[in-house]
Amino acid sequence: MQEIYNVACELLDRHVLARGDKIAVYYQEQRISYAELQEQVNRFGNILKELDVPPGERILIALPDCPECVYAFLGSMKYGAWPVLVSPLLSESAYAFILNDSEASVVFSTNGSQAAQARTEHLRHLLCVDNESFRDRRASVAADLDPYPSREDDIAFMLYSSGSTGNPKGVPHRHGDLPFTADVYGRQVLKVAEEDICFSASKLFFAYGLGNSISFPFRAGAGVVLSAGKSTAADVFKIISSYRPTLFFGVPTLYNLMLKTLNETHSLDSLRLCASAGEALPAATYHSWKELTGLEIIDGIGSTEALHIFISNRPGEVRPGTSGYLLPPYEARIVGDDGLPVPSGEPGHLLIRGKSTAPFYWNRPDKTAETMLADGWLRTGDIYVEDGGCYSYQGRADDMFKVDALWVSPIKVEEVLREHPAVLECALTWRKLEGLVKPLAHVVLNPGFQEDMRLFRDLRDHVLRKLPEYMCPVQIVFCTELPKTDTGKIQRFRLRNGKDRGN
Amino acid sequence: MKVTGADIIAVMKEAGINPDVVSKLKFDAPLVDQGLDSMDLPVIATATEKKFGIDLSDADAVKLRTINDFVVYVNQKMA
Repeated sequence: MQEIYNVACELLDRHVLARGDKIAVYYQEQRISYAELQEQVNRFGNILKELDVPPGERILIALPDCPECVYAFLGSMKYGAWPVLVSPLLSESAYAFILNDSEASVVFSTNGSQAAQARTEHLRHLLCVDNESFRDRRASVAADLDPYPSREDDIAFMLYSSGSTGNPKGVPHRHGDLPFTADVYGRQVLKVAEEDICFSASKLFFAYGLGNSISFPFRAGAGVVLSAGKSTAADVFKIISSYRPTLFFGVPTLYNLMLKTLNETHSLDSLRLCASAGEALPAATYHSWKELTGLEIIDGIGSTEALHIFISNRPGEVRPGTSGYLLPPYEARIVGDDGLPVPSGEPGHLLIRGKSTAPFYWNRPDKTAETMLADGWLRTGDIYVEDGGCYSYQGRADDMFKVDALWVSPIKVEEVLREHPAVLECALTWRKLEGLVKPLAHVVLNPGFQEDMRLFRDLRDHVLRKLPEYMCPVQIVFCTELPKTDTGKIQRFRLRNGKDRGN
Repeated sequence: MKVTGADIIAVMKEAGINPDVVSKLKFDAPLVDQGLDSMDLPVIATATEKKFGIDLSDADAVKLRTINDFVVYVNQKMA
């Protein structure tokens, strides 16, 4: 029988005893100590108790990065419910899907948000954290809360990961997963310590941001800067100079944008280290950043399913353009299509095994069987080469790709393009610009339509009306036919042939 | 004939970049500081490639911060 283990207590309680006055969260003008943080976490848990929410119930959290998001997340887990952390910027229909799929009965959001509009069968309580009535409720409940007697291997929370077709998949994680990733990557690689202040441009609802802004700082008794707004280059520079964090977590696109505006007025002298994930960091970005700031960017690969980074470069030993080395105790394997290991130096499917990998997808036995293999191995879907222990990204096993660290499914974009009267058929692939992947469409036009810039703009506007901007093709190649299999399936990989697939 | 800042502005407009933003662009200031973002820059880069028949290498593209940078770069490539 495992011992009682609640992740909210693992992350907070010992700091309240050892350093209760230390600032845990920096948010706008607020400075929140560990003692205050624990009290608010307890109050949010007690709100669920007062509402008689059964333990194990799903709690949807659709909030920007702010203290209330942290309170709701940790408070739900301390109470024994399962927070489902999602973007505050989804559409009403996307929230309706996730609410139905997760059967969440409680929503934490803000007044007037899309999440607050969604209505589903299971929903019982909508809690808008900016409402007067919610503030009263929060002040009226007890400031103490006994943790739910969970075990390390019990499910603690869920994130949603976008799918190649159709809908996102719920990815459940256990109580032990957040501390595990904090120890393996946060402590082992970044050496996060009490003196550190973390700042992540990636938000809490991303697995990457969740580690950067909750588990790493709180595991170490460090501080975190939360920022609710969009992480533009200008805002990131401003936050770094005002709050003086020591660790910065970004994604490659953001580093490239920051490089295009960096000048002597920007102060980065508080930083000791930068980290990157989400997509492979181009070697050129690493070198330019190092040259202009003197700082290393530590690139690594992780996933929502693994919760955080499992292969990473190490400070002082970066191999630019690679993902670096396996982080023990994770195990990795590169296998061929037959499932058998390939020799070192040859590309294959990357499988990983470690304590933090999600045990299954919520309600998706088909996808679970494809991804969560026997003996605890997780199929990442990435093609990698391992050479001398160093791992280099080669591309995806499927047609998916990442733009600005977000998944793009060619199928979704092609469906939208095909709705345009000019498009007979199309295929979405990608090209590299500044070392980063951007969507590229191949389009065969219907008779009567002509290739020109007006049509290019029109097609882009059409996509932008229906899909997020990062999915929209930056370039359209007009062609007379598309390569197909005998059964008529478009061969996207052939459109990419002869072009760089890798890093 | 030499490519000018006005030519680069014309490429941006043709490619569908927000005309309100484009009409106010200063030639010597970083584009990122003037309201263009990670979604606009790749469109400008690919439209520039197409218009002038050049290839932008990754290492070069990362250094193109201003309209003047584009002008110098395109003229060099076409020389």
